[in-house]
Amino acid sequence: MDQIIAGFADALTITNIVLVFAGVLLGQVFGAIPGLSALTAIAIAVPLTYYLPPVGALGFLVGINKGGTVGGAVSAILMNTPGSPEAAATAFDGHPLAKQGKPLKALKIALYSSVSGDTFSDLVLILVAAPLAAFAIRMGPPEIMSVVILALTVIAGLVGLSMLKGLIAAAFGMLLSTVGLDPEAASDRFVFGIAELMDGIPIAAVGIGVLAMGEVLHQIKLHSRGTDDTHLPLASKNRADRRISLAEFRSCIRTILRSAAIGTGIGAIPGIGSSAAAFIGYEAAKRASDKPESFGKGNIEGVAAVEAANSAVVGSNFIPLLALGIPGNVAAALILGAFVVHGITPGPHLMEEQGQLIYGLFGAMIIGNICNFLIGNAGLRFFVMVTHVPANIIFPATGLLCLTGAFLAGGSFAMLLVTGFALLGYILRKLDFSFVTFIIGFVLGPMFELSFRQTVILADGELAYLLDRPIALSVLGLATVVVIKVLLTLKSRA
Amino acid sequence: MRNSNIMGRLAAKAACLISAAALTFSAPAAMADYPEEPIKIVVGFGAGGGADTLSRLVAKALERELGQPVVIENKPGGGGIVAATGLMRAEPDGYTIGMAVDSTFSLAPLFGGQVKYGVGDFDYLTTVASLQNAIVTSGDAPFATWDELMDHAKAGNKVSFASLSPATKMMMQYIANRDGVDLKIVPVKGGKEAMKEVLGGHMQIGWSAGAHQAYLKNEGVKVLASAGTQRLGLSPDVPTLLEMGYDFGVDGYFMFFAPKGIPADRLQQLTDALYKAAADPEVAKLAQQKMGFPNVVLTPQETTDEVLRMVGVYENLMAAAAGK
Repeated sequence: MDQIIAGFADALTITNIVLVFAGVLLGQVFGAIPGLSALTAIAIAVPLTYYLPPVGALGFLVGINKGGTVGGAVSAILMNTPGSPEAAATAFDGHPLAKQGKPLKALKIALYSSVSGDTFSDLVLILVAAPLAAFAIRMGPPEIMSVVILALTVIAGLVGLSMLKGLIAAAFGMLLSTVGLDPEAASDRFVFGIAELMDGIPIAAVGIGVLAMGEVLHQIKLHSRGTDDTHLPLASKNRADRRISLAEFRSCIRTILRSAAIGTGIGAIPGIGSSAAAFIGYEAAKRASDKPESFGKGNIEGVAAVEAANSAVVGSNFIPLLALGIPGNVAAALILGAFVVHGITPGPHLMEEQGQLIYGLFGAMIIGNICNFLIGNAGLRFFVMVTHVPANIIFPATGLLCLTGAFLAGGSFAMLLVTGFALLGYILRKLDFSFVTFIIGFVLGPMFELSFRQTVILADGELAYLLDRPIALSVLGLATVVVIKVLLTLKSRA
Repeated sequence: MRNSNIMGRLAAKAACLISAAALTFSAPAAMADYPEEPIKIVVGFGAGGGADTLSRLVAKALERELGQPVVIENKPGGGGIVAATGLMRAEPDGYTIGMAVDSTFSLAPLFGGQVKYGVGDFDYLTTVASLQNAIVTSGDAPFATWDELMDHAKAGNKVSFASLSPATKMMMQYIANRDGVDLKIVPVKGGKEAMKEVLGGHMQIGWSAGAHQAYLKNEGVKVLASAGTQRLGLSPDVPTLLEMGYDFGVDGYFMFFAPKGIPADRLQQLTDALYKAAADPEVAKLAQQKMGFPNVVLTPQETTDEVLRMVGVYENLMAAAAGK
């Protein structure tokens, strides 16, 4: 108990609150700018934190990570240019809302759901990290493979009537994800003698190119004849369109809790990540809704489902990190580096060895959530001004930011990649292929390949191996149900 | 790690500005001795990881030794291959050096493919830390020693092995062939991942370059063998593969290198400074106490000998694998 009080007291110093506040602000700004991301900010900030006291340093980094979850929704909603795969689904309902003149409403439900999802997973982390980590470690290759397959079935739910085109785009995404060294024999695939491609095509380049830059090109083409129109109608002055009423929030609570639980569960398993959580959360909300046809047309529940799920991953990624020393994603791996520099070795003995510091970190996380809410609420009004900027200014400027972000993340080679993928994104939009299923295929492809190959080797040709894995079997069963339901819906519509 | 050249680039840019300013103000004195510009270290791994952190600390100490800024640029990819490929083409003027691991030079060229450099294309300057290669299992495995593992495998049980790289796959395959046992060699993404699979009971044994050290307490992980030439600091009772009659040991080093052709006096000055920086107390403290890697600093000659020794080891292992 003394440790808990001492830890929280450490977190509550002025320096720490300022550092967490600065981190959240930085994360929100980096997250909101297309082409940049919280990950970029964390990578730049890690060496700066070598000179800060431990709780402040970690609070700063955690703050950036948290701010990024809120910021990421902004460009997806306002400009339909999500900078990263996990925000792609935010645009499904967020951007239609903005087009209806309700950008503030969309941004607010995104903020509230994001902070709720994040807080939910932080509480789970603080209260039950150890038992949950013990459960997460039971998730081996077959279980990870099943969860990835379940996430892939979401594609079936998204392709709508043009099933064939959606699947072609997804297969193309998976194909591109095989570029690089084969995970087992390390033989080259589609490398063409370019050493930079040995570790594969970076997700950042594909995300910025297809999702953000592709939309920029598309919009520039749309407005190429135009004068100085804005791309969105002016925001509605109607008060109900600018806020989330208590009743509206209450109607979303079930969706938020469901998505937060999905995100927390997926985040606790190292290596799956927030994109899968976002899409599974969206699909689950759609299936549970009594008006599934309103999804994709500006349903606030759609925004809430995605934001609660992908933000919950951020908190619960710390469960395997703190309890086992295993980072769940790239951001967590960078923060792990900072832990090590400050003399903290995450792992099973962390609580007994560094209890006070960990409670300090938990304190910083809670402060971070409060900052996220406050800064977000104040910042929305500024972000929404983007809608008043003429399209012939905002889109070229966004394009420039995307290229800058690409350069920061990977030098001139990444700029080439982003340009190429922007063209691809433009063509996909023009020919009405789903760029979203493309990106899901690209993100989940390598995870599917690795876990599948691991499972095959472990099973050694015996299907009976899977019979010993009840969790894997039940998730696979769930995936089958999703596919059958989608096929039935398609049949009844045809 | 895919996305993180960022800090290096920013730092490089900052350094360019600083050096530009320095040139402007000191133009008449331009004949000063080496070094008169910032030094750049190209790190073959992503920002935030062990290699990166070690390099940054060495860079700080090197700045004090040379009196010039030392900037880090991360060029991750292929376990140092991308950085080495870039360095091969760099000007050998003593202002650009690299940081990678010994297998970047001894093993990678043997695989061919994208690797366009050979072991003779570089000068090897110094090492900064040695890995702790081990073969480990979980605390509740049915075997507690290497001999028990082999008895278990010879009784017809196919043991699963979490393999970190083609090199670890090759070494375990060599052992399996030699002893006539069957293994399931499963690729995993890095040491942390291997620990997860072993602790979670999904794979029975795994390779560790040091990641296991955090789990030694309370018997979470048991070490079956040291795969290096010497016993491990934290597991002094466990024999090496060499002691048990296998004819190889791999130590693994984080090390600095430079393109061949740097003028001899500059190279001398650079390696002297680097040798001191790598042995700096702060570097030693980070490596030993925080990362769990002994701060082993070899001279240029010793470093080169070690790289060449490993070329021989890997060639033998490959020949044995091919001849099977």
